[in-house]
Amino acid sequence: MSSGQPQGLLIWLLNRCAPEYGHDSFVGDLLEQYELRGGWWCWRQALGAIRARAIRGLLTGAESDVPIAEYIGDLVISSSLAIFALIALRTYAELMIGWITTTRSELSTIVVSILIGVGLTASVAIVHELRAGAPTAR
Amino acid sequence: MRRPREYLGQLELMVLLSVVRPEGDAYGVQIAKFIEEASGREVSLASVYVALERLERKGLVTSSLGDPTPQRGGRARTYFKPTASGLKEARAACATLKRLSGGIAGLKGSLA
Repeated sequence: MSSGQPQGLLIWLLNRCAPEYGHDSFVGDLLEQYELRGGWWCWRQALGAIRARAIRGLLTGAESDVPIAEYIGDLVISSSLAIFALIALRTYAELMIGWITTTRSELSTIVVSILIGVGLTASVAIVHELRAGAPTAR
Repeated sequence: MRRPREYLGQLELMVLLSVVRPEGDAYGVQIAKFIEEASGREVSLASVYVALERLERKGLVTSSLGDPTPQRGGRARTYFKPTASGLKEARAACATLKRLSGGIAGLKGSLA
């Protein structure tokens, strides 16, 4: 990995994730250093560029018109809904398990499993729909 | 009335000082190398470019493109050099650091 030409994947990644400012110079610098410092160094720099670009995009909303307050709002709302859904699901599951232990029949186990599955799917779908309606990161 | 001034961040100052060095025009990897040698810590090349962008926006450095080379996949180097304001800012920042650290006994001799 540390000799020869850089891997296609690295170049592909760099072409998409390198900083916008000095993009070509950044990619050129890494390709120039590939033989000297090795593929491991280049991969670390590429991942560092992705991180820097993601943080910058999040802080400035550079790639969209959505300001930081809406990103935070989206995150808080979706997290709260997910937590609420999990708590509701757990309470529901406890009630159903209570019913299984009192009735102790195979049918009740099947019914409860189906209900938990439906409940879980419904919760996930609700959160997904709400998230889709809220401003997104891009 | 005093002119309001935006202070340089630590990395920005290190990048500016690396550009000011007398070895000629500096470029990304070279600047990162200067900082690594001076600080003994690795620096991300992406963060160097982010700092260079800020410095250029503040009018403290200027950039120019070199010639593309095959080793760089046909991409050119971007060379940076300080502007007059950049030199002034670097001098002022160094003098401030010197004055601030001067009275601290535990730091005696740490700055030239």
